[in-house]
Amino acid sequence: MKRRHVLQALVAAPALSAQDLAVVTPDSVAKPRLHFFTEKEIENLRQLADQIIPSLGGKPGAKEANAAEFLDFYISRCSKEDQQLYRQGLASVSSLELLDKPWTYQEPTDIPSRFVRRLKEDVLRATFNSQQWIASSGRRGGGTNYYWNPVD
Amino acid sequence: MPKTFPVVIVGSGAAGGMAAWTLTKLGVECCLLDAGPLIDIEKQRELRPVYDLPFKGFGTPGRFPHVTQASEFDENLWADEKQNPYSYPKDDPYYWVRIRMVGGKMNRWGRASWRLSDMEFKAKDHDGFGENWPVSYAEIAPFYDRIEPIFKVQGRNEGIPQLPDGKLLPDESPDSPANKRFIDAAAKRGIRITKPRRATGTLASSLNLLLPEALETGKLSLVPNAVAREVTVDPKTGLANGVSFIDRRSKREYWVGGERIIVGASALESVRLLLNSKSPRWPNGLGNSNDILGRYLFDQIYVKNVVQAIVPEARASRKQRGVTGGAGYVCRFRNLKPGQSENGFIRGYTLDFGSGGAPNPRYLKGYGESMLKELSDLQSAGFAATTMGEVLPRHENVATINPNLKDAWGIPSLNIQHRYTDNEHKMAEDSRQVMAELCHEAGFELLESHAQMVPPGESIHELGGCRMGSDPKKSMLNQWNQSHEVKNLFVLDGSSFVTGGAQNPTLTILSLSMRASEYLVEKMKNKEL
Repeated sequence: MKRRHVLQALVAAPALSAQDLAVVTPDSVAKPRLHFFTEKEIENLRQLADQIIPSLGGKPGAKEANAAEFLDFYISRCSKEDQQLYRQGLASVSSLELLDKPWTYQEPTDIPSRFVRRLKEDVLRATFNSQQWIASSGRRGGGTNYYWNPVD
Repeated sequence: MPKTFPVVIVGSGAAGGMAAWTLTKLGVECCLLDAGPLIDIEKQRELRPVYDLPFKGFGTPGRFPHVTQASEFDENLWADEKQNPYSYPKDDPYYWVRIRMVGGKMNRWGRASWRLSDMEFKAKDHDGFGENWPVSYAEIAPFYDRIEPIFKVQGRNEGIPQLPDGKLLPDESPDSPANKRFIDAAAKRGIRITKPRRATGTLASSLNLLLPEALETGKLSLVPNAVAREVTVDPKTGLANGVSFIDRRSKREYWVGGERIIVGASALESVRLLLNSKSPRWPNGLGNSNDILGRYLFDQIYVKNVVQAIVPEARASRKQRGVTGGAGYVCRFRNLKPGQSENGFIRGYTLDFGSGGAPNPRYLKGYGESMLKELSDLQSAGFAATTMGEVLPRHENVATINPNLKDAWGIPSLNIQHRYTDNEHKMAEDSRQVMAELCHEAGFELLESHAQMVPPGESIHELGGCRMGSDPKKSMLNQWNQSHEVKNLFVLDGSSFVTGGAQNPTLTILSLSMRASEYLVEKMKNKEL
């Protein structure tokens, strides 16, 4: 094609808005760096998360959803109390038998029990809210809502 | 051009918005100040997947320690806690939840629209506690009649005395079999249940239903981003003569003159504004000679998910579909007879309930494959209820100015002291016990029940602090929401409540505002005000 034909084609093409450009999330192409946990802690976290929600029937689990990696980032931004609970919990918990007790509104006082309760909720949420889980769920519009932009 | 307006209104939510609507339609020129921006709902929001949010739906850590309603999707709507600080006693947390934008909290309200009855308006006559309102249901009912059609309130008229009928769009939706079983179990105990009563329509806010019509009259000057600092007073007459405010964005100071001032900035913000309106004549806050301003604060107790149960036949393994779904409202059934104090408490509570959907996975013990299988089985088998109960107004529950704490505009903020007492604790426990028994009698499997109330304030039904009353020594406002001491000052929001029952308060705030505004116009016509 001659140069002037190319220029004519470009001029004739409708302008694309920013919304028309296909983009991907960082999680889908890049490996996140650790923000808070040590390598040993994140490995324990990965194993516990994988037990809470393993990959079943072709659906992704916590591992595929990178739940542990997200929680490393999220906890790094949380309060010192939350960080301490995770740090002490990961140092003292290697199995999830404590979750076999029925859940009650009475908050347990010991670190392992408090930690596994919190961990279960966080891992499930991080997995259910992941792109991998939502893409596999087949529910149209699942996980989508109105986001309110910052107010001037 | 700067000028003195016939009426200046502070706040554009239910109270201020309705005042602007009523006054301008009756030909009165008004200036309406709101602390927040005017937003275009459609331009302000966009659909986004949860995984595209920075914290994937967990919410920005630490941004809203007291606003449990804020999600990561809508956290930009709620008043920023760092810009708008407040304090409370160390062991008595108070959750002050605010929205600062034109339309106020009506931009996010739950839309539940119940009338109060004389069980609330004349509560002292009923059980001897506290004070009566200076108005009766019969006086407010004509205004409820006019408000409900504006907000297209849908529900059922069932002749329930403690929950008066209204001008409602009929709700003819059937009850699901599971809900019917629960309703039947309640009926055997004499407990009445009705359908929820809610405003309908796209937004159902002051922003789309009241302010556009008020602006169309040409009588309304709407000033967004105007953070009110003080209602000013003419030292010669002792009457209010204007409002000083600060532009939210530039922090530039202004003053607008008004021949009459209406305050409707929400219960606690109105109390704060009046407490900050000090002058030699009113050293303790405007119109506050008797130290009543800020006192008799109350709200409504909430016990979220007081029961969480499973409807057995809705389990996927039993292959029965369509047995759950829909919602209902348990009407107050305690202490309906005068002088009653069932189970050691006075007044009463109501409950919202619904079936269908899955229970929160935290209720399911275990983890891994077995828990996921159980969760999948229970996708439409959940049943849950939330208690909403009356809180007694007490002298010692009080908001005062904290002189050491100022907001981002340099305005002193509140210290809020509010504690629940035995009456509220016993009420919460009673609701737990009754609901657990009803679930059992309905054949539901109870996963968990509890009686832990959310902290005071979290219901976003904060009320009182500038209450109405017949006795000026015990109240701030007369039966027309008019200051006993400053005759051209009206306070129209929830701060004027004497009691609140367990019903959501917005419908009553709207009705009081319309009624007081019409009274004001009448007085203006007669040149009495």
